[in-house]
Amino acid sequence: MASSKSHRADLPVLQKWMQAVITHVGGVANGIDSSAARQHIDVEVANVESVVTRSEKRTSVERLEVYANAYHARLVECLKSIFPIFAQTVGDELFYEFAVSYLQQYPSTSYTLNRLGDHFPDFLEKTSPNYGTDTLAFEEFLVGLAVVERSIDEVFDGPGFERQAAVSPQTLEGMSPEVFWESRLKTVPCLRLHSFPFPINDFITQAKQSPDAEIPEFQPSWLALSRREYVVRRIPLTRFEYHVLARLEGGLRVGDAVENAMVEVGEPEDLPGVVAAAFRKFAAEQLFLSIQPGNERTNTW
Amino acid sequence: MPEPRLGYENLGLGVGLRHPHFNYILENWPAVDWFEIISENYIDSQGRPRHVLDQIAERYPIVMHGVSLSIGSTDPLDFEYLNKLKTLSAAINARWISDHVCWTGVAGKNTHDLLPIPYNEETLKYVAQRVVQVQDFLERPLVLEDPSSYVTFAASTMTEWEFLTALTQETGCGLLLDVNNVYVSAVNHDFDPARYIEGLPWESIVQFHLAGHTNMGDYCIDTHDGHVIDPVWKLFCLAHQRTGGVSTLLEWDANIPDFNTLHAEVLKAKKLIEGQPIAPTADEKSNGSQVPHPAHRIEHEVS
Repeated sequence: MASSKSHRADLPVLQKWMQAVITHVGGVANGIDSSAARQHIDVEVANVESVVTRSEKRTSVERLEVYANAYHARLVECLKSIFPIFAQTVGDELFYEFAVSYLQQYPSTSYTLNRLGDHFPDFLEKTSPNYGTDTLAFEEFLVGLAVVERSIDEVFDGPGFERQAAVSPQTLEGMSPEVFWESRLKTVPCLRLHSFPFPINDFITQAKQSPDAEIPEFQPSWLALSRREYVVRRIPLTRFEYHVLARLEGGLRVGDAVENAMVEVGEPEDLPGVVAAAFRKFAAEQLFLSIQPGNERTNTW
Repeated sequence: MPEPRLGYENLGLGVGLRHPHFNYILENWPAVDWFEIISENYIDSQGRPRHVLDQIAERYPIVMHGVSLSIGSTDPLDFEYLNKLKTLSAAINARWISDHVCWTGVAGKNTHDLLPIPYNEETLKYVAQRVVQVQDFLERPLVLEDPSSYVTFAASTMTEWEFLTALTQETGCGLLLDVNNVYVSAVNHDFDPARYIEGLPWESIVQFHLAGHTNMGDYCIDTHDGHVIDPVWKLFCLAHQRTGGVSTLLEWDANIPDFNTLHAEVLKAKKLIEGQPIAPTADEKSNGSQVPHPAHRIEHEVS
C-alpha cells in the first residue's frame, strides 16, 4: 500500500506525474490510478494529499480536476476553431469524441496552438473504417473537409505575396504564344491545390450559409486555395485546370504542363480556348508571382 | 515619479491586443497608452496577424507576453522559440518580454496550461538558473508573472510571494504582478491576498495585470472573460500605492467586448489612481466559462 506521508518527489517526477493525471481521458481519479502516473509516483487516490494538498473547501482530487477539465476543454475548443465547418457538420458530441481521441494520439508538442490540428486529417483518414479500401463514404467526405480547413488555416498565417505584384492577365496576353508556351511560371507561396472525391468547396459555401447543409453525394471536385490582402480565397477548379496548375507548381514549362495535363484528363475540345481561359483565370486570381519567358519554339496546339 | 524599474518605463494604461479588435484599431487608432500581445500568436505569423501588429507597433508601445516559455519545466529550454521571441521583439521594438512562473508541459508535450510548481529551495535554484539563461540569451531582464493556480503541493516549503521575492533577488528579473491572479489563488488556497502583495519586492514590479474571473462557489477560475471585480480593484490600489505606479494592462480573452468597453474598463484604474470613485462592478460572475486562460489563438479568415 502506498504511504500517506508527504511525497517530496523530485520536480521531473512530480511534473510527469501531474501531466499524466490531468491529461488522462478518464478523469483525475483514473489518472492517479493509471500506470502512466503510478510509474512516477505510486500513490492511491485516497492518499493523493501527500502530493497535492487540499484546501479548506476542496479536496486534492477536486483541485486537480480544474486542470484536467481545462486541458480537454481548451484543446477541443482550439481544434474547433481550426475545423469550424467540420465541427458544425458532425455536431458537438461527435466532434468532442474525435478531438479527444485525436489528442490522446497526437498531444501537442509545439509552443503554439496553431500546430495543434496538423495531424487531424491524417488521424481521421487512418481511423476511418474504410481506410485502405476503395470505399468512399461519409468518413472520406469528412477527411476532405478536414484537409481543406487545415489548409485554410495554414494559408491564413503562412507566407503570402501581399508586398509583391503578381503576374497580371495583361502581362500574359502581351506574350507571343510561342514564348508563353516555353515559359515557366512561379506560383505564389500561398497556393494550395486539392482534389476530392466529394464537392467539398460547394459544401463549405452552403455550410457557411446554413448549419443544415446537406451532405453531398460522391462527385469529384478540385480546389485551389490562395490568399489576397491577408484573406484566404477558395477558387474552384476544373480537373484540367487543377492538373495544369499542379504541374506548373512542380516547375514544368507551360507547354509541358498543358501536355501532361492532357495525358491525365484527355484533350479538351477547343484546346486553345480552354488553355487561354484557364490562364486568364489563374492570372486574374493572382496565382503567379513571376514569369520566366522561354525561347520561342513552335507549340503543339 | 519612480525610477523606471530595470530600465522599463511606466507605459500607462494598456490593453491586450486581441484579433476581434484589429479592424477597430486600424480604423480608429484609439487613445490607448500601449498594447500587450500574446507572443505565440505572432512569432511565426506571416499573415494578417503580423501585418496588423506591424502597423500597430508603429504607433503604440508593444509588450510581448508569452504563454509557452515554460520556465519551470524540467524539459530543456527551447532556444528556437527563444530566438523567435528575440527576433520579433527587435522587429517591433517590444519594450519587454514577459511570461509566467509556471511549466506548461514535460516530456516533449505541451498542455497549453500554466501549471504551478512547488515552492521550495530546490525549485528556486532550478528556475533561477533557467531565468539567468533566458536573460543572457534575450540580452534583457525577463519579466515573470505570478500564475493563478488551483493546486498547491506537499513539497512546497515557502509561500508564492517568498518564492517570487527570492527569484528576483537571485536573477534580477522583473515581476508582472497580476492582481486578479493573486485574488483567485488567495480564494483557492486560503491566504490573505493583501499579505501576498505586502510580501513582494515592490521595486521589482514592472507591470500589473488586471482581469475578470469566474466564481465557482468554493473556488475561482481565472477566465479573463468579464469585468474586474471590486476586491481586485482594491488590491490594485494597494499595489499601486506600494509600487508608486507601474504599467498596467487589462486582459480580456473570452466573451471579448467591443473595444470601447474594454478600454473603459482599464481607464477605471486611472480614476482610482486619482482618488476618484468608480461605479461598483456587478456581482462576481458565477456562470461564466470554466476554462482558465490561456486559450489564445487567432482564428483564420476565409472568403
